[in-house]
Amino acid sequence: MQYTVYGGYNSSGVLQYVGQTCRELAVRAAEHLGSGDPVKERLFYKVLHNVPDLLTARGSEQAYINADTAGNLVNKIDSIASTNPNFEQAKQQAQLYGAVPAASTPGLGGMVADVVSKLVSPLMLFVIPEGGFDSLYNNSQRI
Amino acid sequence: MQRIRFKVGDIIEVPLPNGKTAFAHYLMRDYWGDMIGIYDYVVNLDEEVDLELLHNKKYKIFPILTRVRQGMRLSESLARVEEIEASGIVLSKSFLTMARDAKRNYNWKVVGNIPAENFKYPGFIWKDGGSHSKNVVTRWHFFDGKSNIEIGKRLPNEYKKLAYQANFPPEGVVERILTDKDPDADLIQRG
Repeated sequence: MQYTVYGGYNSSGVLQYVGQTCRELAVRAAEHLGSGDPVKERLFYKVLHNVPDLLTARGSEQAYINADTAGNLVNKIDSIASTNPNFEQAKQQAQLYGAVPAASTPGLGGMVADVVSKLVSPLMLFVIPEGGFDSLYNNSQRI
Repeated sequence: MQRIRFKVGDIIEVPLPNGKTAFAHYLMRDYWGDMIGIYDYVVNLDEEVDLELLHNKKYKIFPILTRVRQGMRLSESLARVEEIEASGIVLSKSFLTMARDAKRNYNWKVVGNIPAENFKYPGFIWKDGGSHSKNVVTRWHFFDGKSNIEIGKRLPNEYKKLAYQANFPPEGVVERILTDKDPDADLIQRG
C-alpha cells in the first residue's frame, strides 16, 4: 500500500502542516475541512513524498516536524514519538527513501562541503590562537 | 446545514473581489481534489450572463484542483476572518479583500451544466519535497491519474507544460484568476 506524505502551504508558500495518508488526498482534505480547523481549511495541499509503508510515512512526517525550527507548523502531535521503539527505524527508512526535507538531504554539494569542513577544521586549530582572535587583538593592544 | 450537491459538467459561478464574475467547469473528482477548468469568460456584476457562449469558450486556466464544496461555503469562511487570522495563518490578498466586502455573496454557485465531453485526463507533475526542494535536486514524478511514474532528477521540457499537482483553496483559485500566475511556475521552470 502506498502512503502519501503531504504538505499544507499558506498563501505565502510557507509550510504550515504535514500529514500522511494512504487514501485519496481529496478525501483527507475534506476531513480537514470538516474538522473546523481554520488553518487547515485555508491551505494549499501538495504531495511531498510517496512512500511504501506507514512506518516510512511516519518517519518522513516526523522529519518535517523536527526540521521546523521556526515553529511554522500547526501539527499538534508528533507523528512518531522518540520513545517509540520503532522511532530510529522510521527515521532511517524515511532517509533511505529520500522522504525528508530537502535541506537535510546533503546531495553531492553538501557531501563535498562536509568533507572539506572535516579536513579544514583540524587545521583551524593551528591557525586560530588559543582564546580565539579576540585574545590576539587584546594582546596587541597591550604591546 | 443544507447539503451541497454538484456533478460533473456543472458550470460554477466564481465571484471575484474586483466586482466581476468568472466561471469554472467541474470536470472530475480527482485523487488530489476537484478538477476544474476556468473559462476565458468574465462578466461584470450588472452584465447579463449568457451561458450558451461557454459552449464554444476555451479554458483560460486548466487544469486546476480545488475544493468545490468549500467554495460553495466561502462566505461562511470570510465571515470568520478574524478567528482565522488569530490562528496565525497568512491569508491571501484575495481572501482579505473578499472578507472586507461583506455586501457581496462570494459563495460559488452552480448556474448550469455543460457535459464534459472529450475530456482527457491531463496528468500532473510533482517533485519530491514539494516547494521545499525548489533549489535542491530531488526526483520528479508524473501522475497519470492512477499511479506515479518517476521521471528523474531533471524535468524534461515536454513535461514543463503540465500543471503541478496541488490542491488550491477556493481563494487560491480566485487569486489565480485575478493574477493569471501559477504559484508553481518557477519550480517547474527550474526543472
